[in-house]
Amino acid sequence: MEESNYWTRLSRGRISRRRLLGASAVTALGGAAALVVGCGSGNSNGGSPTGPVRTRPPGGSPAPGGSITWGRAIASLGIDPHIDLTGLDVDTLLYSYLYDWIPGKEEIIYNNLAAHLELPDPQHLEFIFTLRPGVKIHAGGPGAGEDMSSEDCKQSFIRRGTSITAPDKRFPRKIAGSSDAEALAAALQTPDPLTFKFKMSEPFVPSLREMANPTWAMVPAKVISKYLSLAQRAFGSGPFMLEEFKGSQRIVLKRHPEHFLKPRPWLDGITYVVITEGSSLLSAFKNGQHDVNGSVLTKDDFDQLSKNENIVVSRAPSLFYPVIHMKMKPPFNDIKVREAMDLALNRDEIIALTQGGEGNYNGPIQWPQAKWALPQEELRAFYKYDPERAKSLLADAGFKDGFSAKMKLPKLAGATFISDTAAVAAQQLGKVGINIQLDEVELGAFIASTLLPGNFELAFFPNLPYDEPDRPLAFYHSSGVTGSGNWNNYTNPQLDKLINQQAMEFDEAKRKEIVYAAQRMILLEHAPQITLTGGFAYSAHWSYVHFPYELGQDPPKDAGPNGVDIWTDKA
Amino acid sequence: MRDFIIRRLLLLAPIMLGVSFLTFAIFRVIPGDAAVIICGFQCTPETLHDIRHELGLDEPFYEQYGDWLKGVVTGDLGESYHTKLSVTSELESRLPVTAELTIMALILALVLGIPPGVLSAVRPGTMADWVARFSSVLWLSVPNFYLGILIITFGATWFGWSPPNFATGETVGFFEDPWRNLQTFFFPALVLALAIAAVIMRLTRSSMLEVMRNDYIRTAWSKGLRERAVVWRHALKNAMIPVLTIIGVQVGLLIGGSVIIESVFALNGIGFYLLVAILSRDLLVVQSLVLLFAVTFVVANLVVDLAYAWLDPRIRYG
Amino acid sequence: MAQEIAAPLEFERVVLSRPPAWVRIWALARRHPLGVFGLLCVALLFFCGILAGVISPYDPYFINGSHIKEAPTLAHPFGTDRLGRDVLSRTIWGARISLLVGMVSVLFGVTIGTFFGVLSGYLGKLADSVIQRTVDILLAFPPVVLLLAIITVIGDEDSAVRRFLTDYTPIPDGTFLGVPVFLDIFVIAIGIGIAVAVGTARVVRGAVLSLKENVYIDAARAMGASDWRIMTRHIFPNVASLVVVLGSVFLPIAILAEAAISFLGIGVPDPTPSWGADLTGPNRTDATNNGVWWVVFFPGLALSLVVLGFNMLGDAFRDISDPRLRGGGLGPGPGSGPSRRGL
Repeated sequence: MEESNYWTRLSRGRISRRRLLGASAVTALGGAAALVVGCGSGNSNGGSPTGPVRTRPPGGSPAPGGSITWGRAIASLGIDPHIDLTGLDVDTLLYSYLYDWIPGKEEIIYNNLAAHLELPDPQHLEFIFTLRPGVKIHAGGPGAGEDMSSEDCKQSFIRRGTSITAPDKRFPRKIAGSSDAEALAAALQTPDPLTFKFKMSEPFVPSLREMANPTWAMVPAKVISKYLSLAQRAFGSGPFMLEEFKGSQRIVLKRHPEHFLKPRPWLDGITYVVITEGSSLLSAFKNGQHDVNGSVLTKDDFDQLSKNENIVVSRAPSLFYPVIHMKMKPPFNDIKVREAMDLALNRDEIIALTQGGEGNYNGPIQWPQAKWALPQEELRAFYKYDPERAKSLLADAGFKDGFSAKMKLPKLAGATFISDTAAVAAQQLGKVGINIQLDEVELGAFIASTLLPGNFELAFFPNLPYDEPDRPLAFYHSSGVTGSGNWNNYTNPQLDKLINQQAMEFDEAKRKEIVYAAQRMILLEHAPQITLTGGFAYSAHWSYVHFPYELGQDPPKDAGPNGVDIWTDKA
Repeated sequence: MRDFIIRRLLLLAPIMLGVSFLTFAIFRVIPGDAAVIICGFQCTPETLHDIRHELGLDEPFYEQYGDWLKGVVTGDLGESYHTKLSVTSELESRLPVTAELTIMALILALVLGIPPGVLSAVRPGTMADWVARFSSVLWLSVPNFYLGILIITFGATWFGWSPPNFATGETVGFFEDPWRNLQTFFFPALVLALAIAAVIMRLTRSSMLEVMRNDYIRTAWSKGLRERAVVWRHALKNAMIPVLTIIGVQVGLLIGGSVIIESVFALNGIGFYLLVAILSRDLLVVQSLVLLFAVTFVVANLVVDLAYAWLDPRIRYG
Repeated sequence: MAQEIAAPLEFERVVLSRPPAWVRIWALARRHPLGVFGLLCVALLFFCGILAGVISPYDPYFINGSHIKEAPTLAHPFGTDRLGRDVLSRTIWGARISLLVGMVSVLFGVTIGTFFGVLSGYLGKLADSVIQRTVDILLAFPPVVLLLAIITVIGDEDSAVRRFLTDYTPIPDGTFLGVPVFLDIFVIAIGIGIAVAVGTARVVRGAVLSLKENVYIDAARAMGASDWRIMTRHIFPNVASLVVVLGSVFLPIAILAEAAISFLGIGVPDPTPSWGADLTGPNRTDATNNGVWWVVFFPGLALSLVVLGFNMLGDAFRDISDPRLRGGGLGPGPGSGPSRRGL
């Protein structure tokens, strides 16, 4: 297996470069839906203090056999786990990962490729994985029937670490010590087929969480070297194999008979059916054509479905959060104006109108991140609704009669949640004299002409939902989320220092202190984004489909990798 | 006649060239390209640059266009920037859907349009006449997407019915499972057909009225021919000529309408594919599809002209 | 037959003793009830569109948390939507949007189309070829593609067209006529207008071609009149009535086009009240799955009535102007044959 960079090898190859790249995170095909589903792993959205709603107790004994149909709102443009972001949920069923992760408790479950992880250094500077033997690669492709080994891990790490469209490459960069692929390859060691280890060049707290992320799939090395693009094919080692991929219509999975947790998976197959239009998708579920609901449910939908005894519904706090971004130029570079905006916004009304009355205030870190977000009482005490004071602040700032500003937002087809929230916020701001003009821009134009060139006064769009505090905080850092600059032009060196610090602090109590301090600093600054509120995500499926845990619950200690424990009563 | 056909076919080439060139040009001017969409919300100029380079989008305009043209001639329509699926293979699976939809719509339009039009002309002033005329205005007016929504909404709420393609994400061919196929295609085709049927009905009616006033019809009457012979054999054939003209135009509208109806009924045809491709700036897909639509439109018109010439001996283009 | 014999007598009677105007109009109305209905619908459209600010009971954008998804009541005759907005108000203001887009697109399109049609038809040769080929190419595009491309290109912040519109024309970028981001609406109208222009150009060209054969054109040329003078003095006025008819035909089509693209999500920006936009998205989900039928039913009804009205009115006019086609025929007048022959 050559050590040279996978990507440079490709470019020297005969095959055209065009085959390389793939899908996008947010596409017009169903942008908001993708964001609501988020980048979390599996179907757990974090242990929440509020817990799920169940209309049927768990239990019954699993029986093998049967297939289920799973509705899907977004077309999948590809299922390459290292490149495509619209097929990640399917990837968790097709590939093995090192381990599973319980977000609320931040614990590792060794139910996947890694049998054990040794962390000799308290700062997590060295990772030593002991792999499980007998994790068989799917039939029909390169390496069929062979065991997964450390070489597969190494090649997957290299591929994921250097992929152009992968969302966050800070972790692999800190392994290699640079962005150079050769350095990364050198840093990853495979002393024997079942041992995989590497050292970090500097500590990085989110590492553990990162490796459980669906984009860190372990792809067999032979598959990587044979196939340049895994957008439409998959030969992994997960509980299911890919039978048919027609991303904008359907994806068919069938059972992997040689999975290491034999006789599981129980299901014979899963079929994802894509219907991008929301109401049709929901109808298909309600009529029984789909076994698991795929549409994005509102509170109303949830209530309606709860009435049906044969449907299991559950809910969990959603990490999805649309945000008002302010460009630091007049009038928004005046802190009085920013504070006035926060006072003018009636967050309770936003919750009532756009989230069906369920939800909480967001601080700089979304409230579902229970461990790291500021306590809800503190947020509610801080973000008071006081339009009178807002008006007087504006007068102090020189805007006795208010002012006008344009707020740009992307047009995400079929998901007016964003424009609804923007409309509510605009109306509230209008009451204190801040006249907001909503300018809905078509998605492609929005990214190209508004976002990238930073061409806006106010912009309203969702930040990627993430369940680690580091990411949301990175938006306030002067080098932004991408590491090369934030589009708000906001700089606060003290805040930068705090954010850098928390990324390296492994002592949880200490880290929490730093994270809280950072958030409080941001609160006082009222900048550069207003995170409004966060609601709930709802899920539903017919009761004859049994999941080991529902949305909002933590996976039980003995849970297998995603998908392995699902079973159905229906013949 | 042959020269006419050849001349018309030759005209196809510059039109196709113009269409493709215009598409290419438009997409150069539209803000955002495929790379931008792939890049997504958290994009940086460096990533964008890299992606553009990988997709070959930073090559000069004429090179990209030239590559694509070469591909068209050899039958390789390129690959979608997003899915990497070859456009040709996607077309293969989607073409039957749109084809069945439009053909069924056309047939329905003719079936629903011509007989009432004839009836209305032959029996003026009767209840049948009024019903036909009133319903034609109605069908012409209610927007087809509204009708489509009503059908799906009431189908779901009153009958608990959704089209079978919602269940499986694919449509079955007619010969595999006719009943299921009809369930999938009948309503979308009907919705598309109604407006066209209305136009056809009205045109048939006025055309029939016109024709029946003619002398040769009176001759046939006086010869003692039965009504059926008069109407069907003599009048109808001549009355159909203007109707044929309209069909050519309507094919164009059908293709446009299929985009909307396919998205309403979640049918994975070419129209829906095109809409999605434009929104995600999948230039190669759009270009190929636009070309396909244009060819279809022009060829359909050509066929209509030929049929017209054949039907009416007075018109010969030779 | 009896009519043909009676016609001269009718004529004399009419000339000698004309009943007062209102009697004649009443008689006309009685004979064409559908036409009257159509006229009422169209009048309602204009009434709502022009007086939207006055007659609308609520602000269509006003979000009201205490009246969410209410069924029709006296206070809200058409009910409210998911944000508590009054559906009746949104429907009335939807009329304004439809009318605005319709009128602007038709005026723009018909003007441009006539201009090029006359140029193409009268000048012939090179001008004709170039214009005709362009029209062919544009016609071969699927309309949705054309519309979307035009709208996205023109509407883009940085586009030359938009900068031209904001800097050099009085068209406001902000709220105008109660419509926020007026420029975006205007851009959509231009987009539809271009499609209208293409269709107009074709038809006008045909008319000009036949006009060209007239003797007085030759006479004018013999007298030394320039091409331009002939076009403005003789051709334009004669196609005027055709153009007016075309305008009235295209207006409902333009309104439908706006509804269609807003329905697809690529037209009027949210939350502008548009009948097409209100038929899709969460409204549709609410209607299909949560029993909130009114948010979809009324905008759709309004749209259907408007188009219905135009069609019935158009039919009635055709009946009145050409009695031989009495009863609502659509299509070319008797004896002229399909228009393709002229081309």
